Amino acid sequence: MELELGLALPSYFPIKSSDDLNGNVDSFDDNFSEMKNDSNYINHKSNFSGANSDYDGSDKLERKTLPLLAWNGQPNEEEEEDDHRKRRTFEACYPEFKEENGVVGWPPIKSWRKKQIHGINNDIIGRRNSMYVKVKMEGVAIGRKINLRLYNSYQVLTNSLIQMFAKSDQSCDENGTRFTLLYQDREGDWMLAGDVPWQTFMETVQRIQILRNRKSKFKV
Amino acid sequence: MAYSFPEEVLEHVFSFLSSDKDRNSVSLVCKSWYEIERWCRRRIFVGNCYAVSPSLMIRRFPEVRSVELKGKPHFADFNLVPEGWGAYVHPWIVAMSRSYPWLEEIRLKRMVITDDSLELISKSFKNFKVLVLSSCDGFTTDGLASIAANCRNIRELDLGESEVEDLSGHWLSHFPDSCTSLVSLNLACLASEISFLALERLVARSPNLRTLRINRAVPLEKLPNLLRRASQLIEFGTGAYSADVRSDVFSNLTEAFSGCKQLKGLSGFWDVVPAYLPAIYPVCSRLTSLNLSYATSQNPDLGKLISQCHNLQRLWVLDYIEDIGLEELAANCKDLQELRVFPSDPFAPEPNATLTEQGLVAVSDGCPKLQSVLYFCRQMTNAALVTIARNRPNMIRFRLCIIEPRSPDYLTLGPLDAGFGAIVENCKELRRLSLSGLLTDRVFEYIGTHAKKLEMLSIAFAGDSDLGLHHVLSGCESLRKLEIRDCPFGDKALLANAAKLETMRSLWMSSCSVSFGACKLLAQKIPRLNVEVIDERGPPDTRPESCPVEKLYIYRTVAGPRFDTPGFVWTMDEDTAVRLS
Repeated sequence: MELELGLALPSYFPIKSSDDLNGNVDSFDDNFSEMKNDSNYINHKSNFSGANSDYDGSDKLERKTLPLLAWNGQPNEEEEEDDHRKRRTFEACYPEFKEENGVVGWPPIKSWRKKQIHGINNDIIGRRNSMYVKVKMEGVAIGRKINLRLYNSYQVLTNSLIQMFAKSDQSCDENGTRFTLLYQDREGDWMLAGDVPWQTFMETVQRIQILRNRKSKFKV
Repeated sequence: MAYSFPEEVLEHVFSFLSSDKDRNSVSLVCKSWYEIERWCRRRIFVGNCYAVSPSLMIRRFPEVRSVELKGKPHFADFNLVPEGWGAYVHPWIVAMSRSYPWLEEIRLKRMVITDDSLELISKSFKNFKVLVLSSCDGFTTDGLASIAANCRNIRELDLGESEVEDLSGHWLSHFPDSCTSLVSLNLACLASEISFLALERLVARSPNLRTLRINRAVPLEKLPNLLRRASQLIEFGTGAYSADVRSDVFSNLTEAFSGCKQLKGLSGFWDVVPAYLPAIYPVCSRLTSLNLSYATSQNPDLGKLISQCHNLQRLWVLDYIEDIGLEELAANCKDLQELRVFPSDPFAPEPNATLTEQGLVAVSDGCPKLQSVLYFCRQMTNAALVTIARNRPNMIRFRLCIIEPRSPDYLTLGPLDAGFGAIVENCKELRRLSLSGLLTDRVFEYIGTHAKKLEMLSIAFAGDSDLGLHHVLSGCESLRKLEIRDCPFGDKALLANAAKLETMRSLWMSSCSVSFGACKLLAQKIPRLNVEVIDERGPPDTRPESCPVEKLYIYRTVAGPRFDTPGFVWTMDEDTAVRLS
């Protein structure tokens, strides 16, 4: 692969075109108008990206010359394949661009906000007044993350959670007695919330699960 | 043609033109208008500090009172511009301190300002009034202390979202007792504790104070006293909005808020304890602006609060508002113009709240004045985008971020081309657009065809070929700023539209397919463009010409190549092009 790349090098850059470049602007434009007039071009394109997952360019020649090929009047089909290779080549070229949790700068959240809200680079500020745990309710697809520091008793926590989940699930009733709150402690054991003092609960809770009281299901 | 008006009359007439665009047009009428206009221009806006030099600005406009400068590319906000890139304001301050002794206002965005610059500002301009630093860095609280100590007539000190090195909270006590002119004070970005006593005294002796934003280190218990001393406030940013729940604290706070009869905007609410949110209920109906984007409060507290703010025009929230809260917003806030919804947990693989395309559809349906949207979510459909576009043809800014790159329409699994196409087709006044999700070249064809007033476009993980970029560059007549990341756009589109770049303020491309050779050609073709290659791997000329460059920043300039490039920035100029080809 690399050998091919080396061999292809001399033809990469059309030095001759740098001479007549200034006078040649129109010819670039013409290339585009051809591409545009070819109605198959776009349709073909979208089909192609639809089948993207099947396309495997990894064992093909990784040439990086592509953008310049069209200058020499190469057919569009080849250029198209090249575009996909370009993308792959790029991603392969810059593995360092990938961060642990994805791509640098994505999603586009100001670094300042990231520090303030998400505590990135600045744990002291971010964590000072928050203690997030995951909460799942039986039968509700989307879980929540809540800040336990916002609550000061089992009563308030239970009521808030029921209301929170009730919004997305009409079958929930606001009456908290039909639900059971379980929590997982540091050892990984599931315990019944309310059996230990609130402060002890706060020190050990890792995640929370809300179970529906079976009987209530049939009561309606 | 000899004009019959004396210069003074024309000067007076020109003074009624507030927009830079109109002033520019006036200066193009004839030589004498150009002369008169340049002598009476008091305000300057420079959208890119490298597009012109301080000396050129001063030579043309000798009597300026207010300068606004912008530095780093917008993508610097997301850490895409390496540390040490540039945008140092010091040369500007030095030049202005010599030539503009009557300068009153400096507003900077994404620039590096040192304590030396701040000290120079504080000592050079006798009648200095306004210092706004948005997303700036490079300075410490010592620099702020010199501003406080020396700017006797300071009206506005706004630190925006700057990164300030916090050496001491005592800088606030450097405001002399004679300083009573403050109208606006924004310290929200400071991390460490500020001297509360000094703040309280400063607020108490500032009868004209209209905007006050304090930082997270000021506890909730301190708010009532502060608010009582500043009942004339129009905008207030709280500090940490948390305390043990106590009824006396609560009633004290409620009373203090009730006393602020002019209050129109609230922000802050860090570490919010929901039990204290009802303290602002008495002022809710007056609020036009509410920033809850640092408040990790959830429903029902959030919905309950917002549904009372009937006159809200601007709302920033976290996705904890969920679809249900946005439905309440749509039902209750008919004046809403701007909505921003930020992700509470953007790096989690799974959704953290039930916030979908439905929430935005509801707001677009219920709020007829909605014209500005920033919306982070995890799923979108073409159908929703079409509905939004039809509901709100008055949209001016539409920024949608679907968190997972290249997410398709989750119902049809196809690209979102048609949805964004509907946005640009229906919203004729659209000026700013950010794209996300699975997009092919087709969306760029729609954009080039319809988005004739678009001024700023942000593209990420989109398109399939050069044709996409070509549609944008050849079609969007009003485009001024274009920023692209991780798209397969390369040399051909760029070179074919080289002349277009000179009509724009700037183009950013990172992780795209532009070759080093094309960068050199471009610089050669259009000498008034600065073509800067940013490559932290080392000199780009050590790799093949055809190798794509890491990052590319292109901007027009009348100042020539800049002189402060760090080691990882290479400016392509005619010489390099000739030497290397």
